Amino acid sequence: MYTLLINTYKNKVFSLAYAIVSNREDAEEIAQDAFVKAFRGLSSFKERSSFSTWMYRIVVNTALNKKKLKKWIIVEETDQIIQDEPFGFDSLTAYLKSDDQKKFIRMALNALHEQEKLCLTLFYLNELSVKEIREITGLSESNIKVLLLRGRKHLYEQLKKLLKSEVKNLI
Amino acid sequence: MKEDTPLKELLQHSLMEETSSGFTESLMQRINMASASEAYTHSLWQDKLFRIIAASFIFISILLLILNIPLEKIAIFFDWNLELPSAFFLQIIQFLVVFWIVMIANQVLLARKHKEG
Repeated sequence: MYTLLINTYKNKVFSLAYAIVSNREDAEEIAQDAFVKAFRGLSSFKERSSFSTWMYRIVVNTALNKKKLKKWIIVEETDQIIQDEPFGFDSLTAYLKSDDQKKFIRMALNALHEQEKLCLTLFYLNELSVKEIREITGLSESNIKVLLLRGRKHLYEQLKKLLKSEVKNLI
Repeated sequence: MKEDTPLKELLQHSLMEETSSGFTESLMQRINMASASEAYTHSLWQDKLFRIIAASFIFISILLLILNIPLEKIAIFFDWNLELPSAFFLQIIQFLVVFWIVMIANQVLLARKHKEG
């Protein structure tokens, strides 16, 4: 039964841990520790949130403990949340090969602020809602929206910068 | 929050990683080991605690009973000036008996809950 849960969530759990610690070995260790912790705490799981949210919270806490990052910094809400138009990510990376695309996206993501990186990962990769991210991080919904907005903007800028320098190097 | 679908597809394609081949097996091994050791130490600890509490209860009860019989003589012997209400010692004994009964009932309920869980 638990093997089924592991097989369902292992890649998403591992990818989330990898996005936080940026190291395969550490991420795999974190994923294993999180699954063991979840197994031990299954009896205390009250189903107030979904299993995935609960599981991702364990992963995030384990990974942040590993990185010794225990405090969440509340961001200033100076950005307007209404400027929520999509960036041209697809046109920016369309000409890249799949492997290069992966490499550049990861490099750009690693250049972001920790909180922006985590919010983007939870929102887009783990497909969690802002409410669920709030449950995991303890940040307010408006804070998360600002982080997502800034994260997308910074990711786009980083990617643009990286691709520009890559093109320059090729020339 | 409006979802940026191209970004979502791009991140899912680029950031989704796969674990190493032996991940599930080594994890299940760790879980089996952890659950086995937890079950073993937990029951031992619970048994010991229950026995200690039960033994303490019996010991204190007997001690209180023994002390209660010559209590008046002891009071005279020490020549207390403090005037205590007549129900004072009875209240102490009642409190201790009720305390230990509640304590033991709580332990029994916890042990039962743990077994059911």
